[in-house]
Amino acid sequence: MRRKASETTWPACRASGGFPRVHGTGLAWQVVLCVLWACAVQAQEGTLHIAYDLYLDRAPPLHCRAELASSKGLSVFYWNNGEGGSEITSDDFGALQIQVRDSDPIGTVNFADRGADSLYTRGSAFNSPYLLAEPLPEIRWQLDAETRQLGGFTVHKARAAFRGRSYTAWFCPDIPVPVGPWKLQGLPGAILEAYDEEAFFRAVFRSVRQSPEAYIPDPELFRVAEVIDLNGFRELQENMAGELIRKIRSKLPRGAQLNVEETSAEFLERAFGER
Amino acid sequence: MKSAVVFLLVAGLCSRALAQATVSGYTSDLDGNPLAWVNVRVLSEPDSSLVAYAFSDESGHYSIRVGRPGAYLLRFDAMAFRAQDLPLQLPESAVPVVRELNVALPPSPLELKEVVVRAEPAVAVGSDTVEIRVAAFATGSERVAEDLLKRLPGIEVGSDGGIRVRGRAVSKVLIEGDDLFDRGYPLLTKNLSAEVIDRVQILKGYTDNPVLRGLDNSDAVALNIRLKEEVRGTLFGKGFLGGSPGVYETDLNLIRVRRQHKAYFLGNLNNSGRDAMGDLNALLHPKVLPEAPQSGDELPLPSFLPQQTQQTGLSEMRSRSNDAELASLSGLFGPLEGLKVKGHYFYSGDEQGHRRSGREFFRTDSLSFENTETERARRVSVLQSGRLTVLYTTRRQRLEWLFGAQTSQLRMRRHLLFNRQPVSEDSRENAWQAHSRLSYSRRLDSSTAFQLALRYQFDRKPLRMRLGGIDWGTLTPPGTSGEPLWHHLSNRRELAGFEASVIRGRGKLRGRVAAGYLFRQSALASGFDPQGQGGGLLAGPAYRNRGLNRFSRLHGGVRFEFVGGAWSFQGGFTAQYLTNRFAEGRVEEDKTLALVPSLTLKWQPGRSHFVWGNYAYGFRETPLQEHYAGYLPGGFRLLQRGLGSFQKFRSHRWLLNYTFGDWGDPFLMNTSLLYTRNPDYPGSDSQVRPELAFHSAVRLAGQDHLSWNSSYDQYVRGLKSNFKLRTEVQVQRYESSINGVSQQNSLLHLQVGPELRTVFDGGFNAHGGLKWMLTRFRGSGLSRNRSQSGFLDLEFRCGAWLVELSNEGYRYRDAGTGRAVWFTDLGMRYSPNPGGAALRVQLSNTWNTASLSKRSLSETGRFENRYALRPRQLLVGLDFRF
Repeated sequence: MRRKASETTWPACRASGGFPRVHGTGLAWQVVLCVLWACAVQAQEGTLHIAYDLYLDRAPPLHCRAELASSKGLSVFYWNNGEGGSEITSDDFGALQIQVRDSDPIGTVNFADRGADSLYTRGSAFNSPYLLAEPLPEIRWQLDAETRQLGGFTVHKARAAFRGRSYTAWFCPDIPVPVGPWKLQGLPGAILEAYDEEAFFRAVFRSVRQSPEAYIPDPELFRVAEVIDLNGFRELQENMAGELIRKIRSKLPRGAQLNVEETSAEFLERAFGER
Repeated sequence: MKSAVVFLLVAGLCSRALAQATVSGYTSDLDGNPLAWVNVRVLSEPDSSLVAYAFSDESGHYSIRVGRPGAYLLRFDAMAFRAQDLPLQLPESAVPVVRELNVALPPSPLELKEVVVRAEPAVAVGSDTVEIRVAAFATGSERVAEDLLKRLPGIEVGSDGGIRVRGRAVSKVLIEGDDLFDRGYPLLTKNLSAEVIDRVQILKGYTDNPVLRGLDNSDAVALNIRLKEEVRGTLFGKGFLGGSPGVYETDLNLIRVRRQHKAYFLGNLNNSGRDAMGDLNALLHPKVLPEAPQSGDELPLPSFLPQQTQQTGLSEMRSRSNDAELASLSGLFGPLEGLKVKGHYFYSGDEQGHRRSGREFFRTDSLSFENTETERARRVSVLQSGRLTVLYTTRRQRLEWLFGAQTSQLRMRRHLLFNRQPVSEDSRENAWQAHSRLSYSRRLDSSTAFQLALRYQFDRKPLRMRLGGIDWGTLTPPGTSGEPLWHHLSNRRELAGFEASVIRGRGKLRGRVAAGYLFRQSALASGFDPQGQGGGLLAGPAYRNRGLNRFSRLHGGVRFEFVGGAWSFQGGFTAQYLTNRFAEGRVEEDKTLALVPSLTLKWQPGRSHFVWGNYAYGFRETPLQEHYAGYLPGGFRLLQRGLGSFQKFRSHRWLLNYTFGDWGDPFLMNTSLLYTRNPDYPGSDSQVRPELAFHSAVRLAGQDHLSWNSSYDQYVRGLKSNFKLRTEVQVQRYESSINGVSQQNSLLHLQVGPELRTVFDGGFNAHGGLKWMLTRFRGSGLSRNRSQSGFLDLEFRCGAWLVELSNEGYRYRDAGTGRAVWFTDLGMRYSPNPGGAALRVQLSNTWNTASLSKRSLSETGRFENRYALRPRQLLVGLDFRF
């Protein structure tokens, strides 16, 4: 399930005969992805940038600015960046309060490559970055006739179930790229707003612009110690809350207690049966 | 080529129904280069609704299926290319229809104009308020407010009832905008029915004074609970009823909330050793100063009531007998818009007892002796307090008047066998205190406010002491030794002051400029009763005090905070002009100008490293309670006196703290270094005899204290356990004088202790640790004390049952036999319905350990004490809610 990046090999790159499918995963992600991106933007129209306000109703809730950069089949979605770590406060009853954030300054990055049918997600768990490699999800969108205006654009409604949640997306055919926030994509137009029916996830369009210059992601984004596939990610996620609680609880002084709430429902992805 | 070249090839046959139509082809630019990722949409002709869509691949090929016959429009669009529409007619057919449509898209300049929108947030977020309608999150199973708060985004409730918003502990929970419970808010959130709550507001940057909101450095968070209109007026509460033969414990809380008035009652009766004040302590004695401390806030009048100096080091519940009773009533009334009247009254009574026997080993070059003491102590206290606050608040102004009064009757009785001679000490302090404060705040503009506060305080702590059986030697007339002797002490203080401040906050810089004046008058009078024994030397001037002190302070200062990136600075200074006048037989006057700076620097270069340092300069002048020149009794064999003259003391303190890692990391280290240097300090000059000691405070030079504390945590994932190591080093050096001989004292204290804590997911967990301590005291001689302690806590959970077994042991190797003493407490709780009634069983001191022997060191030798402990105790009770 898990491999050290330095122990894996990547025999080919897209420019020299096809982008490898993620089922094999590989090494040196930072170098390969950077080269691919540079090739793509030179041959294309520049870069499309869409900014979102992104909310995750987890504990603590995430409210951050997210940005999507897209160009010819490639897209990078940045979010959840910020200082990770913990904050310790004590209340007037002498109780020690600890809040741990799972983000880091780089944040979470979703890199989608339609040509290679691949999606790479750079994330952080306990200050250890990981790279999840998976096939580009095939989201079966149900198109709805409903339309509305959003930021001067006419957006169309579509719905789909994905990784255990039911999403509604509003996409804009006037921005004819099949991209969207996080892992939501595959509609004939950029997704400008998306949310799930439990109001756990919400991405709201904030701005859009185009830039003629090439957009090259920082290779540091993909410098990770561990490359995992979807099963590995599921394991990591299942263990993450429990592991975190165990770490904190184990460090508490005598008599101090940690109230453990149900945490499994707080994951954005909670079913992995579909692609 | 300016127009699209379209090739249409019909490869299917038409029939009455369309079984399946597949449209495919290639997309390219006008030069024939394949265009990848072109949107291909099938739109129905009448209404342009989207029927199907696909994308071209890297070779420009696309394929799209259409399930119904009809007239369509095939639309091709891609960024930087002009969209192309092709008509598509799909007739009814019984066999699959296949069509191929190729398209070449002409280029188009980038035309997407920049668009910025304001998106509606998921939750109503204001600049300093987040409002959540609870109906959207409630499931109907919530019983009390904290159950509901747990469901709201961003709000967490700990097992102790403490509430956090985004990890920050909330400072207050208001109800309908009013602060009724102060910091004792769990009394509200653990009792208020969830059904009555309509909305919850998160108030960021909360300050007690709304006029100052956003200006001070407050990052405090408060919650405001808004009630449903139809349920205001609910009476609710909780209680506990428990006991066993000879032991009882009861609790009752009642709350009533209406729009115009709110009321809260708390009562407690117990003799189980539990502190009756409980949650009320937080309400009455918050551990932090008010957000904006004002003149007089920091000056409690010291008491001369003899304190228990020898401590067990254990929880007081182990060694204390008690008989506590407590009642508290709080209310709030809002008769007019903007006007609120708050009142609070409470009564507390308790009778506590301790027993101890011990020996003192006194060793100096000139004198050595050994004293034995057997002590029974009883402390009876009655405390009553009332407080009235009137608040008038408008949008830009606030006027607050507070009046409070408190009386306390404390009686400490000690019966001793001192070297087998009976000695008694009976002290009574009947204190009363009143204070009043008037403050006015005005918002000048969005970043500036003005505040003026006036304060008056009146405090009296008279003490009457009866001492019997003491051999006063030549201090009393011959033949009266051992007879009872009375001592009276009058201790009072009045202070008045004002402070005006301008508070400004903008961007990364916040600051406060303040100036004020404080006047304080203190009087201290004491003397032995001239009747009986008092007719001897004890009636002389050396054992009397008639002191009067007038002190005034004119001060002005600046405080600021700057936060920029990884760095933050907090600093400031206060300039003080002090005048001091003492009258005690002779008159002594002094005028001083002092500048008192402070600086704090924080640096967090990354999430793994956090460094902060602080320097503080201290300057103080001795108040009358340190100045008195006549001896007064500090206990049954101690006569003490103050400095006898006016003194000023300075101090320097440096603190450096470094943290590596995080609570979520496997490895976490925290280390801090504190160094305190007192160029001059109030030391002691003692004349010690076996039966009596005289302590005089004297000014000495050069006191140093260095302490270094560290803790290391390593979490081992495979074992689901954390290994912890704590170390502590303390070095202290100071001077004292005993029986005319000056000596240098040095203290070295070392402590190290490992711990192991498991965090298994199942129903069992354990937490254990050991601690070794070594104390070496070099004064008149060299003394050493070694001790060990350990604990092991076991927890078992099974369904509605929770069983906790708490064990702790102590061994003082250099005291008495050096045998270890063990304590085990067993607690069981059965909660069939979470949040409902629960059965509680508590067995304390299971092994019925009768006493604890402990050794402590002093600059003249050591003390060895044996403390009597509470016997085994069983408590069975029921928690209930209504």
